[in-house]
Amino acid sequence: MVYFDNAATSFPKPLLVKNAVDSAIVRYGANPGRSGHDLAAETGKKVYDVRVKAAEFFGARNEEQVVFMQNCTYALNTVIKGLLRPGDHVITSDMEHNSVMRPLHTLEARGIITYSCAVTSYDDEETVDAFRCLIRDNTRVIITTHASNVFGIKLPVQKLALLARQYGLYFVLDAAQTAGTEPIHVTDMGIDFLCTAGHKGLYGPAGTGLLITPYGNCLSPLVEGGTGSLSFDLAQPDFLPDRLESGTLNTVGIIGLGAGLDFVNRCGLANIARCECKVARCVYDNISKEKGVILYTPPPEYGVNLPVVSFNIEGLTSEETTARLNKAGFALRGGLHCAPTVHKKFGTDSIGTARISVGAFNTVEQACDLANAICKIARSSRLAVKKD
Amino acid sequence: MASSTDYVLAVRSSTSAMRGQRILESKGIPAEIQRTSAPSSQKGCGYGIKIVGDLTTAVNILNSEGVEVVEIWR
Repeated sequence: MVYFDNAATSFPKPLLVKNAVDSAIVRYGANPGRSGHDLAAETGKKVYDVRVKAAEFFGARNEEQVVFMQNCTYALNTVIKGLLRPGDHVITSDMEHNSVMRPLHTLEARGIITYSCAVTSYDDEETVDAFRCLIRDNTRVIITTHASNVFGIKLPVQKLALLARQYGLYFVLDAAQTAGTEPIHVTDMGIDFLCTAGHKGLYGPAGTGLLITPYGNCLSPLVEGGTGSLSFDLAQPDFLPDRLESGTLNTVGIIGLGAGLDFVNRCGLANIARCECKVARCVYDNISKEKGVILYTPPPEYGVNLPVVSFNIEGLTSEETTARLNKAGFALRGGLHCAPTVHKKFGTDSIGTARISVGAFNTVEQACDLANAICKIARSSRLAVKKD
Repeated sequence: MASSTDYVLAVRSSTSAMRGQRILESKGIPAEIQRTSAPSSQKGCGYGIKIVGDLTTAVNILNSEGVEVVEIWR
């Protein structure tokens, strides 16, 4: 099976990550930040080292601003539900994943907040203007994805962060799809809350995510409990990471995530992104010539958009296409990709899209094979339509 | 048993302790993390950074980097 579903989670994982996970299970089995024995201290040190790596990778001011989460969705919920207060207004984009839309919808349905969706465009200035026009007196936060998980379109996040700063708003970035392939420096870019997955472009194991923020004490925790600190005080600690890290950490996952960060650092973020774009472009160019293949976005281009290609085949739903590709040995995702809003924007809400999402281990040869398989399905679909 | 020039700087969390240790060692001050010997009546269990030498310098360095020293033991 050739895997082209890296936007869902990256696979395979680097050998470095596998070995780190093995070592975590075999050598670092104690509970970090709790007991005082050597094994707990060694495990705590391994977890701390990953915190330092993540802080350096994302330009945090210090490692105490790095909070380990289960995934990006958990990080986004932590921020959205922990930060917003009654009466607040939020601006988000029309490209968001349900990990942003559902918590916002819930808070609005409960009468706690209101939110508006800015209509994005390929023109960065138009997009920024669309956000600016929605700012009200009670707007408190701009939350946006760095790039669409469905179409790979990037948003001008640095300009949006600047807009937020100009109006005294918090800027929250969903970097689930971009961490590991796009440069992200929270301090330089003015990102107040960075939420990301650890198991996608950072190549960590499933069950890992990050929240990086200097404003952790502004968040009301979703979960409270044991932190190994200030135990006599029944109030949750007001400092990071403890405020947002109750209960035993996913030590194995975190140590694996540290190795994933090492992998990205060793390969070079730009090198990974360039290679992935080359692979995605190869598929795109080959299938774009085929009659009956519908593409929705300009070709993948390094620095412009992500190596994510959504397509459909005339006469088939996206799920039918991906089921046929599965039989041909290719793992792709079909459907709405948990992002219905962007499908409405592109008119694909009734059939979804088949999505090719490239990872560091995909090759141009695999891309050619995938393109051939897609073209073959398109031809057989055309023949079936003719027969009907 | 700590000597007369040994101090343990209690900090808020294990992460603070490890960060404090890293900062102090980067400034040439040997530092060792240790669990506080007994739960503080105010705070509960905790972590400390054991140093040998100039207490004021160490505390100033930690404060300047935002590592809060909550108690000091000799």
